[in-house]
Amino acid sequence: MRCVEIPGLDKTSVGLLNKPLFGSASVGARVTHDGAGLYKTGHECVSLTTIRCVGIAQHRGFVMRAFHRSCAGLVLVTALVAASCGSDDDSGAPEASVEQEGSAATEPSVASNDSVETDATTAPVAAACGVLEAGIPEDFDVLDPHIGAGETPATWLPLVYETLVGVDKAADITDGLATDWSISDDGLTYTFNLRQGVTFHNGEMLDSSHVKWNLDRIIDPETAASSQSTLAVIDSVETPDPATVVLNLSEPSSPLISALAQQQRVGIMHPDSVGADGAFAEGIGTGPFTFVAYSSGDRLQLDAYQDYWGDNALLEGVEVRIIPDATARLNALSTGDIDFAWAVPAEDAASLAEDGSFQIQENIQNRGNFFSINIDKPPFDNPKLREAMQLAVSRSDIAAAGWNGFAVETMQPYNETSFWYLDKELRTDADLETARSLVQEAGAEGTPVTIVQWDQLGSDAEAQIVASAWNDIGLDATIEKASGADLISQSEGEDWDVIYLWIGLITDPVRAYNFLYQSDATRNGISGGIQSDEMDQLLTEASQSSDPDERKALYSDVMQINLDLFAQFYTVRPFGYVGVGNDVTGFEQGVYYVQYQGGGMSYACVPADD
Amino acid sequence: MDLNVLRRRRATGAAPKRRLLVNVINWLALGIVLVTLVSAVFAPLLTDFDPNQASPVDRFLAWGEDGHLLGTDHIGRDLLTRLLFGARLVWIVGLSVSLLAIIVGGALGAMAGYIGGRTDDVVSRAADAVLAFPPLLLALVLSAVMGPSTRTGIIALAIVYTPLVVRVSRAAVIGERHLSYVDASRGLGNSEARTLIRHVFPNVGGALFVVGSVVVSRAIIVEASLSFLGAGTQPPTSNWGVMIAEVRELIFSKPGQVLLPAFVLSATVLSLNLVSDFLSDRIDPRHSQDGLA
Repeated sequence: MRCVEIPGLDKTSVGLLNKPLFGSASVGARVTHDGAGLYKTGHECVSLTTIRCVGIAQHRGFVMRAFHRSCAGLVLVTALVAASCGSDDDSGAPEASVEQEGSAATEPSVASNDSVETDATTAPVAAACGVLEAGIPEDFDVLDPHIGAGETPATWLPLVYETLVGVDKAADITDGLATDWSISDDGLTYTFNLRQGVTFHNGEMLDSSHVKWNLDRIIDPETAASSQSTLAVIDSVETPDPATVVLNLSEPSSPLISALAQQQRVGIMHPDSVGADGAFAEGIGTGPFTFVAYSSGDRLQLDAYQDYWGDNALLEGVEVRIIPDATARLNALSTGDIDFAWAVPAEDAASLAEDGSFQIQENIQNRGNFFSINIDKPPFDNPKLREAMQLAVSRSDIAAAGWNGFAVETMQPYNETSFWYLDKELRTDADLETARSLVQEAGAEGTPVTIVQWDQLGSDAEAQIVASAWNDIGLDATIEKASGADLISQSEGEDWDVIYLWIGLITDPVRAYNFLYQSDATRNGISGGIQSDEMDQLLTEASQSSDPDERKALYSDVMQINLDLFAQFYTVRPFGYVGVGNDVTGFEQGVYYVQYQGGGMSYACVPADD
Repeated sequence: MDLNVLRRRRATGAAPKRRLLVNVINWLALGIVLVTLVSAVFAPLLTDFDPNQASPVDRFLAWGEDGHLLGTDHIGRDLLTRLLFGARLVWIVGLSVSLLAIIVGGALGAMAGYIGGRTDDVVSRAADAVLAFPPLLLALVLSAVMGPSTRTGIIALAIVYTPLVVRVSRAAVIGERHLSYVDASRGLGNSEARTLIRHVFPNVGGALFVVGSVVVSRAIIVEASLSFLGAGTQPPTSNWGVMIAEVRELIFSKPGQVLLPAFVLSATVLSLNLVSDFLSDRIDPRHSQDGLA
């Protein structure tokens, strides 16, 4: 590592430069890392970074003064650094810039230098961001960006791999590795223009042939990619020139664009990531971080990628540690052992966060817990009994007692902020009287009901509340736990009563509706085994329509059929939380993702000596 | 303890006070054990509530509120009821494990000790092999293989604690088998089996009883641990380990919810240990210094 000596820059001012007042979004400044060089203060070698003063928000007096002073001083420092770097025969001059917007920013006093642009004032600054340590509950099943469908790969692989179509903080579609795209009028031809200057972690430039290789691999059934069925409508992939990719579809497919944005399923990697035998060997992506090491069940280490096409990550790296126990994860966070915790238990997190060692951010998800009743098995084939069972359930009780208030009542898998949220009546309280009389009408008093719960998921309390409610109306409910595989195979058979599960990680409604309700769907059993021609018709129309409003209306009808059948019913959407250590600055959790276009982990900073 | 020290203490009057204290503790322990035993037997008669019936509107009631003597848990179940029914499971587990271990382990140990030779080698080495594993780990592995349930927990723990009984039983039988009454029994023409069962076994029964009572208390705590870890009794069944596990995420916000079952579990196990300690003193008078006088 090359160090540049800067006279007069002491450790305190370096510390000041790295403190939250610059990194923190709350003061409106964002520290970005250009990785171009290093400078030396005392005995420490610290990375060079650039600061963008993007307006300044209100902050405490000291901080404001310090900010004013150092924003001016910064530029001076910058110039010095730039000068010393620039005069170095090694041509690694930092391409640094301070963009000043907003009236509060101080007037830059710039020592002129050829590497400093005077209009977008340039200022490389010391921000010694270190390695962020994160604690997560579940291990990565795979690091292959075409296979991983679980929550862990979905959350963390976007740090390494990027997709053709990107998502923003709200998980809405935005540009990704393709800057823009167009769809032919018949909906059969998609043309993507690739971003220029994107390199893989092995240094090679991204071009259309790489994209074609990835798509072909996903479509190939042998790969067993999780998006294979959705992308199977792609007939052929053409590459007229290195910057253009053309997809020819066999039929119009409205979910295609959002399917291409599913970061965990369709990440673009270099063909060398796969060994000669066709098996995934090492992940070479284009994202802001690169793989360093992975040990199963223990941790995944990532380093910042210094030739990233966008803003380089501020962090030196990210270490994702697998800490299955929620309380242990929370303790590690509050003692400062880790800087970031995924999925922290809400109630304890809230009370511990008051102590001030970390804060919690809500991880808004599209998710819904649900119970499905086997509509084919007597006596559950009687709609009156099913209606009674649904009426007996109090969603507000489940939210309050089952999830300690950290859940909201829902009857669908989408959250209120989503475009796909259906405006339907939501019954929050139980109607035990009606339920009891319906049970009597159905002649089903004393019917044994076995609720099968996935042993790894869900809340025992929620299952217990529902079972108790059913006992209240004259049924005899018990809870049985099953492994995921057992539960799936039970749902495919005929001999089950009720399944308690949840669906999540969904963006396009194809996954939320077709997946469950279509008569020949892989998970038809989980929704209670609905076989409805009308529903199938609606689902097919919805997946072929390209008008979102029309699709939403169709899905609303689909949900209505499910509601009228009393087959599957959603109860609550539990809140997800991430815990963020107080010394982490600049991080904002997106919907699902810790990395998205324009924000996330690569904009976070944690002091290096921490 | 050195006899002279004891005599001196008696002379100064210090010993009676200590004896009194020890007596009080022992009686208290016996009392707690009896209370849990009575709870276990008469649980349904002692409470009006259903241990598994949730009533979310009544969650987190304080002690004594609405007839809930010890309040309610996170989904509104009566805590006292759950503790009483938990006691039932505790005793079922403790006694079943102990009984299984004593029957199997006692028989194997007696056989090994009485016959000796190759039989002894095989039984002893097998027991050593099982004893080499930490009990909780072995129980976890067994329950993972068999699928978690109360029954699995009992079988796993019986396997874990059998070698302990084997060793005690074998040692006791070896101690007895050269005594003259054994020769006398043989001399009278009794078969080896009859000698062992009718004459030797009653003489090692005391030792087995003591080890059995130790197994009860150990089994209770390991089963609670198993259930806490999700490898034993499954929720919603009322079990003290399950009760702790269900509310463990509330340890900072509602510590009482976690501490109550934890305290009951600790008190019960401690009491059982004291009682079994006292029993071993009574049954083997050579060790007796204090006790329920």
